[in-house]
Amino acid sequence: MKTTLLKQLIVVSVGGLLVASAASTQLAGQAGAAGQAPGGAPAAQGGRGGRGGGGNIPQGGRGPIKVMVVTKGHVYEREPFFQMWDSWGSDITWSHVEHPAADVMLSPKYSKLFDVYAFFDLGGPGVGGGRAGQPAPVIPPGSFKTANNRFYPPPSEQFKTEFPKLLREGKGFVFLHHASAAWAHTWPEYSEVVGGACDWYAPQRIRGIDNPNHGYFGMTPQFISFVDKNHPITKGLGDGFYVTDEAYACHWFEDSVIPLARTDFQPADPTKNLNPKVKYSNLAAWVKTAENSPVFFTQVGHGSTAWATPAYRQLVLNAIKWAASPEALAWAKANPKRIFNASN
Amino acid sequence: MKILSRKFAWFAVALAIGVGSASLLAQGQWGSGPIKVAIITKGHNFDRDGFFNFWDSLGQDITWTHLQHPAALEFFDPAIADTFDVYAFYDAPGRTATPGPDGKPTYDQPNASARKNLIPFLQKGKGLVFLHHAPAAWNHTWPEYSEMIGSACDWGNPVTFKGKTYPNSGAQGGVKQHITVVNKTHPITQGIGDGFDIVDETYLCPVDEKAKGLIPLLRTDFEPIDKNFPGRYAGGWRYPEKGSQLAGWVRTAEKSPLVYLQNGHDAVAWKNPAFQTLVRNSIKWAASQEARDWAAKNPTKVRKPSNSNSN
Repeated sequence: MKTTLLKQLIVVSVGGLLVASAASTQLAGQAGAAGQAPGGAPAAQGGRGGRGGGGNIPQGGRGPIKVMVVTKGHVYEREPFFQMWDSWGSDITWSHVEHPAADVMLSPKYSKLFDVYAFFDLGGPGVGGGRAGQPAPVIPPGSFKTANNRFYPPPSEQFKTEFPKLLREGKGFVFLHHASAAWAHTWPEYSEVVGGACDWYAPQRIRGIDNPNHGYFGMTPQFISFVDKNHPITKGLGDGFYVTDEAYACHWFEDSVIPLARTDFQPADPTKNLNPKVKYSNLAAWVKTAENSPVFFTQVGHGSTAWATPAYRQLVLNAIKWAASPEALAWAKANPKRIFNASN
Repeated sequence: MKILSRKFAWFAVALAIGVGSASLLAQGQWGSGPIKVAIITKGHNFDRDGFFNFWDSLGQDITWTHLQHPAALEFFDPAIADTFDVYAFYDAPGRTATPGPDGKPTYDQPNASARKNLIPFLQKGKGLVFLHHAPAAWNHTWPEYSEMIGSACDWGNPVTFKGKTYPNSGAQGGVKQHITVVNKTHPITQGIGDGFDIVDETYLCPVDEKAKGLIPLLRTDFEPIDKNFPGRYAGGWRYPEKGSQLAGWVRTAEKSPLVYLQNGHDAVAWKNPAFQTLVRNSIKWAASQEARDWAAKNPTKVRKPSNSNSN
């Protein structure tokens, strides 16, 4: 743990300096804008106080693909993350919608608003038992209690009812990095939608197999190899890319996904994080279907170091474009994966 | 353990390098307080880290959720409006002028459902807090919305308010002002004494100071006449009227308590202790049973002006 903490300190130090640098740049930009006629030009739908995707593209982009970006439940470097999304602003228009609002929006009732749903969340995050001298944590009602006294709230009944219907409608879904940990204890079908499950904070039962806490390995230099170079998401990106990013030892469902990329990272002792019955998977990206919807997941993308990697940005942008494409939607409808009971 | 070690890491780094944003992050994102606040943005760029760090600093009182358009307006549906206690608006959508078939500018429309749901939403009695540029939202396409706030702005296009057309609004950044408290008994102004100094962007927009039930809370000493907006004035911009010096008010919108604070352009304002107190008080007041009871007893009809040309 000491080694891990040291790694994280280094990661956070670098991240903090990047954030500080970004903030000072932004403030400098704002100071410049202050002397101008703010909002004076018709193009100033957001012409002040920050940056968009460049080329006079406002924050949130103005491209044709409408993306709902979901976060909450896991802290992250906000501005670098948003800047990555802005960098795709000529292709997408993105809207940030956090839990619990996101749970409401993930319904056919609101599906005309968005083409693709992108997740960098950790839905249903666990609450620890508290520490001495600290206020007792608020345990969400109906929570699942783990062996190490962590409490995980279930999704709302409305969400559980509506989300399967949205998947059956056929929309694009993109899951990034720690989104694989959402609802892992309380909604096993959700993990089947993603194609894997994680929890680094508590033991968990996945597909009937008991695992110890999963593994995370911060700022790990890795080479991500594309194992399917002809897929629209990877085509033209070469053999792969180097990235320094958090790696995982999680329970990926190798038998349920179409691999796109694998990492050369190998944990020293996979049995520390996985039941011996679960072979360590070095999957780093895949596609699959969930009901009638195309799904993409990549394990890469913890923080600003990964987000600043051009190949990573291109990979995720390609995934968004693919998930929104008529070809992907037709492919999913022709190859549906039934996950939820028809009554859902 | 991962969470704890990360929090420790953030704390350690904050101490080591003294980065303000990192130290704020150490307090935790989204807060953990009892008041559930939807923070609504889109349509106006802003310093996102600074803004969200500001909301994190209120985290003992609130748990906040960022919610952007077009999803945001769906929550005017009374069936889901109770997802949040207070709706805080820092948005300004509907300002992009696109030439229509007849050559006249057209603007983004609000969600069709929101037009239908606005009055039932307001009649539920939800806490509403509008900050800074939020009166610029939907002015060209939804006159009731500007009526609801009691003001309307657009710095890039002429404004229509209460059936009258005004020139492009004025905005001047980095203006040193003194804000005077004009209602010292209201819960929102507690803890800031007679007033405070602030460096912030100021506006010249139409404000309905005589709106039914409007209670002034704050006034700026900045004189809003066109010559005091030198950037625009030098470019030929003129504004025939002196603007309002109201910098904060409460009123009701149907049965909902509503707050507007004109301050809050950027991190300079967000880090001003008096502004922080004002926003914290505004959120707590808007969420309070006291405010909801007051609004229920003093309802104001929100209607499109009879002489409005907007659709």
